[in-house]
Amino acid sequence: MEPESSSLRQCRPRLHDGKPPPTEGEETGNWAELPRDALLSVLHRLEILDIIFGVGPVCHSWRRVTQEEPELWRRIDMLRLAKLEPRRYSQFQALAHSIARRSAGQCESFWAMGFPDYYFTVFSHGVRAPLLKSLRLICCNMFSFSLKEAIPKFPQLEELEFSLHTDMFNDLYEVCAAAAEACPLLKTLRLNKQRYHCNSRVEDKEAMEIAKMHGLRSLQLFGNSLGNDGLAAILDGCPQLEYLDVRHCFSIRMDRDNMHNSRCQGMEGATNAQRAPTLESMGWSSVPTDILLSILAKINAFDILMGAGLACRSWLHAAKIPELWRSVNMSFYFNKLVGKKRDDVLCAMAREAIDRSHGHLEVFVGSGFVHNDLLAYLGERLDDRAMVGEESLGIASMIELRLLQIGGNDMTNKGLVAILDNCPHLEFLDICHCVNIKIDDSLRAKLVCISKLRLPGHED
Amino acid sequence: MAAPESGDGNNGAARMVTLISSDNTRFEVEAAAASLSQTLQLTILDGGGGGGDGIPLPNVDSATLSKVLEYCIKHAPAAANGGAPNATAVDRAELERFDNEFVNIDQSVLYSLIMAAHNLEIEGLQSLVAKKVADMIKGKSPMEIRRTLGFPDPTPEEQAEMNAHMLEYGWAYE
Repeated sequence: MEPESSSLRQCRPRLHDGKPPPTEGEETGNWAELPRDALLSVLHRLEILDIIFGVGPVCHSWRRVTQEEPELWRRIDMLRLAKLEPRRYSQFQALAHSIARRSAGQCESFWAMGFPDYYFTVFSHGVRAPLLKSLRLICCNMFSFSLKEAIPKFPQLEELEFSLHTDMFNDLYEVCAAAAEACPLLKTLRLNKQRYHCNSRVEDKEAMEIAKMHGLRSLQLFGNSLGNDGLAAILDGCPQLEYLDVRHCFSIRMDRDNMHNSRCQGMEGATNAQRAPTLESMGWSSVPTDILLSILAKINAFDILMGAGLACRSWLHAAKIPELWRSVNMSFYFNKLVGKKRDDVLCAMAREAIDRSHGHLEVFVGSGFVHNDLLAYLGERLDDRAMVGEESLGIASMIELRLLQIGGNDMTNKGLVAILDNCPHLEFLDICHCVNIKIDDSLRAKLVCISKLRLPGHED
Repeated sequence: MAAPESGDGNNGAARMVTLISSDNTRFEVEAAAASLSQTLQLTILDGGGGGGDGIPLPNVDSATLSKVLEYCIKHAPAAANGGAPNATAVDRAELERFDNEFVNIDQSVLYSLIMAAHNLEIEGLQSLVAKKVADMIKGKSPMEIRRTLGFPDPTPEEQAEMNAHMLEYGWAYE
């Protein structure tokens, strides 16, 4: 194949090599005097827990910046809280007070996992959070009256989650009632229980309050005891509902042609949100996504691209999920296909696989058709991901390729270098039988970090 | 219900639980076998399912449940041994033979099975059926897969969308 000029993409000049860019402070080593803006640009990429427990205590000037910048306290995500070591867990009180004090009414979302009731009360008392849009409390040991009192303070709430609370109580419906009354903008509600209690009677109190949340778009009620009347009330009261997850709500009796079915048909729930506990009217073409992924994970790239991934719309969607494309092995097909277009077809498939991985590719195996331009493409895609990563997550390098087995191919040093520069985590590289590769000193230097190497001339 | 072929025997009479399918058939089965289901395990640990109570399984019908339990009973002894590191090669071969035969069934039964395995969170069964279905669709064209798994006829819209993709990946159909 002739290398076309368009396909010889130049790798973007590298700004740095996986290290944070040097800053002014580094020269003198005085990070404490880092300009405020520069420090903020770093802090904005950190989680709130790192700011509170890590950055805040570092020095006086840093602490002041974290205290004075309400922007940092706008999105409080403490879903990681439950995993903290106990020593830090004991600092909860300080945590709740600092959050209450610093967010200065600017707080837009508050997410926590394993946050004790008392401290939430501190938070909700201290904070006037009229802007709060999202409140998610998972596995929080809460009393419903604390929530019931807090919710009217958040009139802008669009998302409310109260899931997996350890202390199951019976007056959760009062919390629903408070939210239905005080939060007219509510669009998303999740009230998941640990599980359906097998002795549960039908209990529609919560459902009846949820039915008053007329703007609801998305509702998840795992393991709830609502019955048919409750579900009907919700479907009538929430005409805009698009997503409904009532898995493990075993008090619902699904009749084949009752009104729920017909109402639920139009609902655009994700396929893994079973609309109701029923098996009728479903089949392989509407199998839940996670089941489908477990099947597709067991067939190879070729079969997904040429067969299963085109069987129907939902299978096509599933076949594009990046998770499936972490490991792409295209070594089998070289001898299966014939004809002069073979290399083009395989390259096109490889590109499609690379695209679908969205930068999560960890393993790539191919032989016979891999040329410089495919490697350049691979390198560039990985690089794109790295750039995106820097922008949005503040992580210098997210490149994940660990194994590259491309023996018996025609690429040259240039193609190989293009990819080596982009793969800091490469552990295994197989380029044996690649006759156009010349192992020189500059290439050798780039290969030192790779623990397992198979080079031309090392063939068994 | 058939008794397990080789109970662990050191607990005296094994604890039994009752499961009730969507069509109200009652199945009595050893707690150890039912506990292969992560979903049931919690309930059983809580003491549920004993006596006259029974655990209702409103999204599994009796035909599927009996098939699921056949799998659980066969696999319970090995699971009790913690994945059976000391199982003999003979035992393993026997389980493998059982598994192969077990999934040698119609696609509609496989579908009910994988849905039940998913709902009841029985990991081994999920992966066994997934493997079988994967084998059934390997090397087939989209149309052959639709026929094999009994997809309903595509709506004209869906057909158009698929055709567009087939053109997009024209290389695949040279």
